[in-house]
Amino acid sequence: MRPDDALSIAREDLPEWLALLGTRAQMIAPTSGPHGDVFYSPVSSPDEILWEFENSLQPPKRFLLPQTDPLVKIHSDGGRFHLEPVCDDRRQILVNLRSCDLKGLLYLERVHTYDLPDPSYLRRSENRSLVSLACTEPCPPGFCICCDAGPFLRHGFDLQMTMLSDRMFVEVGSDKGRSLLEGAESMFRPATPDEIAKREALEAAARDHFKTETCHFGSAMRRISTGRVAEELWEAMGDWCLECGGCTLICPTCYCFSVKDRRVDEGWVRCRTWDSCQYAAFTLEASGHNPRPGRKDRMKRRFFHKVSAQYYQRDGDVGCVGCGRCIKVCMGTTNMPAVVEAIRKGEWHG
Amino acid sequence: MEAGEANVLTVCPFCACGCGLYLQQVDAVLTGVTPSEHHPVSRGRLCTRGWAAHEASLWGHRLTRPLVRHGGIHEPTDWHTALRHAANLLTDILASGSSIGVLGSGRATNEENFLAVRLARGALRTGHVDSCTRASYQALLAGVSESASACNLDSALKDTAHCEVILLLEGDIADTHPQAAHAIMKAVQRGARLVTMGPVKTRMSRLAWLHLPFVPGGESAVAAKFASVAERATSDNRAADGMAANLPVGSLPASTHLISSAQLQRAVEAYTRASRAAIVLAPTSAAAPWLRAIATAFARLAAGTRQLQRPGSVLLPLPCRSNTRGALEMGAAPHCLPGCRALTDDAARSRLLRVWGSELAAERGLDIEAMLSEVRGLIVLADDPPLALTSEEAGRRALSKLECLIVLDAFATPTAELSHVALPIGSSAETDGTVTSMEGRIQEVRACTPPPGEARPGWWVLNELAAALGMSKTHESAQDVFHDILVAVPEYASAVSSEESTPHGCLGVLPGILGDPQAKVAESAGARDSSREALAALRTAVDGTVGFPFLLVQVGSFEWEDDALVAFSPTLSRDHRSRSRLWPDGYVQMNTGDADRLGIRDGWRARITSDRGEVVIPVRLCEDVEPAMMLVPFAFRDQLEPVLKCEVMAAVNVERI
Amino acid sequence: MADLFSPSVSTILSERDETPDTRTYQLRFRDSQEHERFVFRPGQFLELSVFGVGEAPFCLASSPTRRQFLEVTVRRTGQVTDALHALGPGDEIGVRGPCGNGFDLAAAEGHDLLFIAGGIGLPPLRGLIWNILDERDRFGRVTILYGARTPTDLVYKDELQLWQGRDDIELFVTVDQAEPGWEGNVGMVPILLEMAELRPASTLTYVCGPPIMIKFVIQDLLMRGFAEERVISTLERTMQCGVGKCNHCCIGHLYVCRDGPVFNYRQIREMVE
Ligand SMILES: Cc1cc2nc3c(=O)[nH]c(=O)nc-3n(C[C@H](O)[C@H](O)[C@H](O)COP(=O)(O)OP(=O)(O)OC[C@H]3O[C@@H](n4cnc5c(N)ncnc54)[C@H](O)[C@@H]3O)c2cc1C
Ligand code: SF4
Ligand code: SF4
Ligand code: FES
Repeated sequence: MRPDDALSIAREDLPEWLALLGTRAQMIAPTSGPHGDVFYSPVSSPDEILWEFENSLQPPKRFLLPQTDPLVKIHSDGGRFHLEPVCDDRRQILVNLRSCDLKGLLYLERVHTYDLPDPSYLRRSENRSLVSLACTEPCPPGFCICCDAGPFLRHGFDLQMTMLSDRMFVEVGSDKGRSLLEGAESMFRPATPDEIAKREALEAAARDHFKTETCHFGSAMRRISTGRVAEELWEAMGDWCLECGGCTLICPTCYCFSVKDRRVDEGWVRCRTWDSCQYAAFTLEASGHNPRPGRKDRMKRRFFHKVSAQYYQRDGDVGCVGCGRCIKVCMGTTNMPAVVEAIRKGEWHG
Repeated sequence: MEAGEANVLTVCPFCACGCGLYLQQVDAVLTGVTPSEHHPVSRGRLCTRGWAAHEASLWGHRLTRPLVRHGGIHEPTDWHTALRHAANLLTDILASGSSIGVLGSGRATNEENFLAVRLARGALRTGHVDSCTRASYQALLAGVSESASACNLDSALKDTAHCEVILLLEGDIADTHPQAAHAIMKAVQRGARLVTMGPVKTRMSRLAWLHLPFVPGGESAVAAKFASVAERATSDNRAADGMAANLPVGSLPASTHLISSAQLQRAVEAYTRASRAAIVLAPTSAAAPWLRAIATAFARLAAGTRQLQRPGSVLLPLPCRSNTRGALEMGAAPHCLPGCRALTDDAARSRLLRVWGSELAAERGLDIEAMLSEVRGLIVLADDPPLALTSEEAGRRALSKLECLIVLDAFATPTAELSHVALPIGSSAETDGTVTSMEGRIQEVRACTPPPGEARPGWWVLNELAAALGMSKTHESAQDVFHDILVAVPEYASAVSSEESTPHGCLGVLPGILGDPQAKVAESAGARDSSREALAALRTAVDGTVGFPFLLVQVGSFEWEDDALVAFSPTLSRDHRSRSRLWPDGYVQMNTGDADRLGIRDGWRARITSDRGEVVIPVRLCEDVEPAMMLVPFAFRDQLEPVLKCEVMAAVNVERI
Repeated sequence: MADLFSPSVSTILSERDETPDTRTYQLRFRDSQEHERFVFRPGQFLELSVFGVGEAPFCLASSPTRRQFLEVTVRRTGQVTDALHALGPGDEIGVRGPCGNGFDLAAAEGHDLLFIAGGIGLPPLRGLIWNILDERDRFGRVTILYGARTPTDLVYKDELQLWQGRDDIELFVTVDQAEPGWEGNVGMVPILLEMAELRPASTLTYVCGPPIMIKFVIQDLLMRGFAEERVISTLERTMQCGVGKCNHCCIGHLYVCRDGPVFNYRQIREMVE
């Protein structure tokens, strides 16, 4: 941490600063829905922002990759077609992101930059600023520590905030982050050694929360990458999947999609829509042949993409940020920690 | 709804589990779905369909303007003209002394169904009112309520997840009722013994302790087995005696390898001994009398063994669609009034008089199948009825012969294409109202986006149609209609005002859901005795001497794939589109070993012969089909018509060609 | 590609029926500068869209050496292909591409080349074949083995005649079932391997066709001493994006739309699903 990258702001000044940011861009923050569920959604005032909350079930992924994402507008006049790419140039500041979710967005950024960059994604991500709120009290289902995705982040954020008793500790992680402080310089001051020490202590305490719990990605990865997971094990686990696709749709790092034209007024919009490799029809071919016919084949696919060395090498990370959402949404019982453990132990009991 | 974005809590429009989800809109366009983590049924979990709950509304072929048929062609028109035209067509039919029917729908809200019933019994003064998926559910309910009057459904799913033994009658519950499948899976994970009973091994069978091949027929034998076990299990023999008196005690033919008596005994004994146990009954067959008899047998087992009285034990019949139960409770049935009240219930009638502001026809009407051959005019609410009829083709023919077909739907279904007047209404994502889940949970559905074009909420259209037919009372909103429902159906009122009522709905459990005594007579007179027929078929199937060594069974009573909500969803329709392209003539499934013996390969055509006729049809091989059995998916019932002749089973011979 | 998912509007110049369910289209970008700029290798494919219906991948069946128009040969099997078949000259469609790796022409230089195609497997090889014929002296002997179910199912019937007449290539054609008037070979594609003069040591072999044919032909080739690396084929998987993003076409960590569709047999054998 360079000294000028560590700042702090009085907690009572936060609303003013955030209100200032709200005049420059749309502010997206965790809010409390009318029925007890937490949502990341646009806020018009800092008062709506939650500071202590259980992470939302829907990750903030959808602000970069909506479930239905318009790509190209298509009009026709008299049989001649006109195409117009859809650009999302809205400026958005995502605040109070959980570490795991921010890490998920970094992963998505990488896969959309890798090989052929995807301009429609990257244009969005350029226009988003990511401000995380470090997890001083890790959430119960999470295992971010096993994925190097939390509870605190070391890099990747534009700003990372840590709640101290009366002040907010703010780390600057990028130029984009620094620009968020413009116009509010008077509210911030360099962090004192005492504040830095407190922040370190909070991180240490948060890490201690996990005790010795680990998800053992390493040994699972060795087996998956070399095909040393018994077919029978996949088959046994496949029996406990109800093919809802929830695990992938809800995952902060999953990005499979399909492309479909939607009728609008006198033309169409070509949309990218979330899809899931857990659906049988995902690989179904026009001939009726399906290279992944069984639940076990699709489950194998999911874990190969998420925890194989081949993908680790390509993406620089496992495709899991330890948020624990797949534990919550799974219609069956085959969530990430359960399957990783089964692979490591070579046995599955449902 | 102005620009911006919103997440609107509503209920999944597909099956009857009643999962809670948020529909999301950005700038008044639907974009997606988020599960509701705090919803008591789904707790953050949705099945494939729930995750695509926004798709049909967004991608489907929508009706956006009122359409009136002129010279065979639908022409768009304004609401006033369309409604007046509809009313004129209907009054002409009434004037000529012919009858009109009304169909409510398991895809519509309680409010819409209630108003459809008002339209029938109030405005048109007819008892011909029904809904498509009622029959199979009603059969299960009637069976259950005959011996288990107080079947407590309210927390059935939660309780099921904690049962020690589960008897599951299913087709493929992982597909038809995934949230129920999840509850059962959880129970199995906790060590429960699952017994699956159905015509074919399913995904759930793979987790089961026992799988019992179960096909229509044999119900008397099953009932007798249940009775004898229950008798031993309880010192109070009354329930068992009652059952023995009602159903002939027979024993399974020793030669049948289909339902093994010993296995059935093991299953039932485990059930009896469990400290909490569940029976979950899906409408696995279109054979309503059989469903009813088998449900009766299960209910008596539950009552006789005293499982039913134990806290946490479950006896749960499953309706097909999100609001099949609500439609029935709103009175979309020929034999009862809203609230499942008898037609002769004076108190119920006077309550309806109060809220409808008109006298009502309290006569018994025709059910959907009979209606189609009798009535000259039909009003269809949010459904494509032929998909659920005994014969889809005959259903379409009947619809096309009507003098007047008025369809209220959000989607351009084949039925809407045939209509004389098509009235565009909001889809499930665009409508306020309530629906009632299989557990009796009355939940609000909320509009997330406005209906497209000229489309209007269903309650508004039904009101206007009633007004055009001379009903004076109208409603300002869906809530307004709900208030009438609360007056007409006291159980709903007490549910809403109960302390347990939450934003996620409240539980309205009707006291002893009304069976349909008349239907029993009518049905069993009309149908062949299903048990005798089946046992005969089983015997021939095993003996193999009579020349019809296979038992052909039609499975299921409803299939999602042709339903507008699935067919118009790009994600959900893929499998099906591919299936109907690859198998345009349908297929039957048979056991792989049997096929080997006959030299039939996967996908080959075979000649199937019964005493009623023959067809040539592709055969698909499947390990999970029992030997000597062949299965016909419900969707292909028409293709097998020459062999089945509208029955659900036939003993058949199969030849390679 | 400025935008990965935005197609360019192209016009169908002409169409030609190959078989009852297969048709070849000639296409040209509506913007002629774009047409001039478009470069590709044989073996690459296009994502074609029928607007309002959707997109599907089709291999470029024409040769980069012939630039007046692009050609694709399309068999009717579903939504997009049905809709394509309903279109004709003058109609506009969307074109995105070129996608995929394509054949490595430089690696083929100086070698004997053996092409083995079954049914609708000839189109991906046709572009390569014309490319090679147009630069004939860069390559050794050229042998083409082609089979279809019936004579009706043979595609590019005129060109087969043309090739038959050339003395710088050898062409062998067979059908599984003869029809009246057919005087050629009858039998599955592998019988042609008996007829042609094979030189495993100096030959690169390109095999395209139905999976079952590919399997048998490759087994046969390996037994005859062809090296796995020198047997080259194309793979087909369900695709959506064609640009390595949607994950529909993955086999393990390989993306058929980016790392393929052209692979040598060794790569194919080592793939894990
Ligand atoms: C690299 C490549 C090259 C191809 N070249 C040709 C060619 O030259 N000529 C030809 O006739 N066919 C070719 N195909 C196959 C062709 O793409 C499919 O027949 C076509 O996608 C079917 O689309 P549909 O919409 O008509 O069928 P549907 O079954 O309705 O398809 C729905 C969607 O599924 C996907 N899909 C289904 N089957 C396939 C498949 N086999 N391959 C890829 N995507 C599929 C497509 O995205 C399609 O839009 C090629 C496929 C690939 C992968
Ligand atoms: S969430 Fe669970 S049940 Fe659903 S697809 Fe994933 S593993 Fe299967
Ligand atoms: S289980 Fe039923 S109610 Fe729940 S999401 Fe699936 S279809 Fe909808
Ligand atoms: S087709 Fe989308 S990744 Fe290959």
